[in-house]
This record gives sequence, C-alpha cells and structure tokens, in this order.
Amino acid sequence: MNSMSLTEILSIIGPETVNTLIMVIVSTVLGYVFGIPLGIILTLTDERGLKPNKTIYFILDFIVNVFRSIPFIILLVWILPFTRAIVHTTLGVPGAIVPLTVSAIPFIARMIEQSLKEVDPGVIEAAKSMGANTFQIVIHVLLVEARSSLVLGTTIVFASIVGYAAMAGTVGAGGLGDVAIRYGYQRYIASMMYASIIVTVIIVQLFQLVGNYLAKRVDKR
Amino acid sequence: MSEIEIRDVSKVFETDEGKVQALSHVNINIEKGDIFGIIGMSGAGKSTLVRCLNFLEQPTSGEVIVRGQNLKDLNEKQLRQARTKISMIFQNFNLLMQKTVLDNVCFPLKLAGIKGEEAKKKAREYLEIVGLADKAKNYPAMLSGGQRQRVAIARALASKPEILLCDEATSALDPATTSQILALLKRINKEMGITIVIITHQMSVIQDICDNVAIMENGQVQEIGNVEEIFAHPKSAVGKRLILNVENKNTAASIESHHAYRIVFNEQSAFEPVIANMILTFNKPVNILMADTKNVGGQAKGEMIIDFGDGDHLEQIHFLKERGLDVEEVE
Repeated sequence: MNSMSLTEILSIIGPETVNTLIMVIVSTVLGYVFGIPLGIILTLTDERGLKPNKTIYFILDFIVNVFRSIPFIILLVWILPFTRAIVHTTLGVPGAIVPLTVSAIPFIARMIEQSLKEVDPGVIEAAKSMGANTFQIVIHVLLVEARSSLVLGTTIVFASIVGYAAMAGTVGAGGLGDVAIRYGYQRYIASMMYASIIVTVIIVQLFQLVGNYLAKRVDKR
Repeated sequence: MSEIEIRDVSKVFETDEGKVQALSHVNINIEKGDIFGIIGMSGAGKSTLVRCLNFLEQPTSGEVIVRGQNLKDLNEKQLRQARTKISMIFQNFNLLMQKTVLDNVCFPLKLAGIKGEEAKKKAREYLEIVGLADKAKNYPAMLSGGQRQRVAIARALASKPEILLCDEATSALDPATTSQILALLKRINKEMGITIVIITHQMSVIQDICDNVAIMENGQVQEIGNVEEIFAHPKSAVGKRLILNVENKNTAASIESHHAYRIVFNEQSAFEPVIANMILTFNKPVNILMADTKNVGGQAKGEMIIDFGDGDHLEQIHFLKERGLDVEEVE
C-alpha cells in the first residue's frame, strides 16, 4: 500500500504533531530553566564580565563546547543510560525529552551569553555607579536590555530543537520525524513524507513569525 | 575637611601592550558646594580620575576620601551604599533603552527598596525639576540628546546624592543644548547644594559654570585653582594651549608673530576704550589678531590678542597694565 487517504494521513499526522510539539516545547522550556543560569554565569565570569573568574569560565566554556560539538544523533545514543536513569525509559516522548534537553542547554546558554554580552557596557557602568549589585544588574539591566535579542534567540533555538526532535523519532520517540522515516522512507508512502515535512515547516514558520513579532514589539530602542 | 580629597592617586592599567600609567600622583581637594572642573585633552586621564571618585576604577596607589570616608576601607556593600550618594552622568547618557523615562528615574529608587507608586511619585518630582514631566511615558529612543541627558540628571538626583560626577556630560550635545544642560547643573548646585565635578575637554564648559579647575595632561595635574585666575594667567603649557584655543582653533596658527600679546579685560576696564587710547597716546598702530568676550564665572571677560609689530613696546604694555588689564606675551 503506497497511498493513503487524507483522513488516514491526518489520523496519523495529528497525534504525532502533538507529540512533536510536546517534545519540543517541554525540552525548550527545560533547556531555558538550566540554560539561563548557565548563560548568565558565562557572561559574568568572562574576563570582561562583572565577576571575572578564569577557572569557572574555562570549565563551563569547555563543557558547553563539548556538548555543542557532539552531533545530536550521537548524543542521543551516548546518554541512553542517563536517560533511563532519569525517566526510566528510553522510548517515546519522555525518552526523547531528556536528550533534547541535554543538547538544548548548552545551545541556549550560548545564545543567552551572546545576547547579554551585546548590552551596552555604559548602561552597566551607570547601574554600578548607582550602587546596584551584580544580581540587580542581571535582573534589571542585562535581562531587560537584551530582551529583544533573547526572544530572537528563542526562535533559533526552537527551530533547531524541532530538527533534533525529528532525529529523536528514529530511536522510537514518535513525532513527525518518526512518521517521515517509517511511512515515507521505509514504506515509500510519499504523501506521508510530504505531510510530515509540511507540518514541520509550518510549525517552524509560525514560531519564527511569532518570535519576530514579539522581538520587534518588546524592542523600544 | 574637603568633600572630596584625592591624595597621591596613581593608576596603572595592565594591557596586552604593557603597562599604561593613566594617573600619576594626583592631588586634588574639592570643597562642598563647589562646581569643580577637570579639563584635559583626550587621554589625559580625566575619565579614569573621575571613576576613582566612586571606585568604578580602583586606584593602584593613593587614597580617595569622600565625605570623610576613605573608599579604600569600605567593603563591597559599604561601597555600594556610598555610591548612592555619588551620582554620575555620562557622555552617552547610558539610559536603559528598554524602559520608559519614568522607569529609568525609578531605577535608583527601586535599588534603594522604594516600591511601586511611591517610587513613581518621587520619580515624577525629579522629572518635573528637569522639565520633562510630560515625557514620563516615552522611551529614551524618542528623545533628543539634550532630553536624554535631562532624564539622566533626574535619575542621578533620585538617590538624593551629595555629589554629582559629570563625565563629558555635554560632549555629545550641540552648543545651545550644552548651555541648557549647564544651566540646569548650575541650578541643581545652587538649590540643592550638590557638589559637582565636571570632566570635560571643552574650556567653554569650565568658563561657563566652574568655580575651580584642575588642568590635566599625561595623567598629571598641571595646574589647579580658581577659574578666573587661571583664565587670566594660565601658567602651564597645556593651560595656555587650552585657553588660547578656546572655540577658535584657527587663532593658534595666526599668532605665530613674535610680538603678540594676550590681553584680558574685566568688567571695569571695559568702560574705557583702552586700546584706542593707547594707539592715540603712542601713535603706533597695533594689529588685532583675535578678539572675543566670554562669560567666566558669571562675569563678562574680554579677551584680545594683539600684535605690536616690530620695535619697542614696553611702554604700551605698561600703559595697559596701569589700566588694570592682564597682559601676557603669547609664545
């Protein structure tokens, strides 16, 4: 059977789209939960940061680089034992969320670091001259002044994680990537291949549009 | 005790190209209620010096004593506390661009733990003082340079400082806006008794509002004292250069003549047509190379550079000095 009716396609694509969205959104949120502090620490401990610390910066920078250089498909397999330890399974949506989060954290940390480093040093100096402490500068100056750039960064992060989530499909995570491989590649059902591609593109496009709009909206410069 | 005592302050920066001595053995006392100017060309060390007054830069050696507190002896928390009484404004205003004018002025209040409506109410009072109450809801990007600096001044005042440091605060502004900002600073100084330290490379700023001035070059103070006195008799080479070049860089080239003298009139001597009388008395023509009047510390001052031509002119100089003019040969 190399062709399917539209209803059949939708009945498969629908739930898998939901799976993809769950994987991507949950791991992006978790990625930010850990990535924001990491990105802030990288910014602060940098030699031109507010709390320069060569040792801490060197170690974190190294770890981030290592995880950023491992291709996701390999990371996925490499940390299987870790995944099992955390969620007691390596399959399905929970099994995908762990490796997705692990690969999102260093990526997000870098994006955050880059955004925060763009903040005008003069404004930071002004805050210091007013007696602000480092915590206050992070909360009231860095994160506020960089917010537009942070939002744009999120769209890039999101698009990448959608891509990673498709790869996670190949190891039994489900989702749109899984559909494309199982139906499109292994069973030669081109319509399923196209359907999953189209839905993936729509998800990324929508998110990019919303991100661009928000970034512009929050930028008062 | 002086409001600010700078004692033998030196600052060395370690850079990739080696050590750079930004300040060497600077000694300055600034009295309470003073408007004190620090002038120098770029690279003279004045920006580093002003940052030593709130320890944004820590001196390599020497001491800075602000209102009786030796900044060196303070821990981080005490230093942050001290900074709330030493406000600072900047050349590039350094406002939070993503926050409204009102929120910018609220910022130091928020740092001080004042919240919500109370902070906003106070912030509006300071915006009133700088004449920008109607811009409270705007973002800095919608304001002109002069307006932005006013917001920065309101923000600086919000923490009720004793001292206001101005780092090239008018350098990015046009002359008319500069005068407005300087007038505002003068008013703040008079009405609130805030000691003001002004860093600038513009002699006109010093003449406009400063009581005392330190002239810096190569990280050292070359000359220090009352603005009127230094304007009339600059002693250091850099002082002469700065004062003669005021607003007219071209004059420097035209006074290569060997018999050029700089004459400074005060308000009294302006009544008598001194130069005309001198020419009539001695029957010798003079060449006027430059003439200007300025407002120095609220007094009208006339300045003229004249060339007596060849020959003896000691008598003419004596004639001018007798009439209370400051006469000095231009090198």
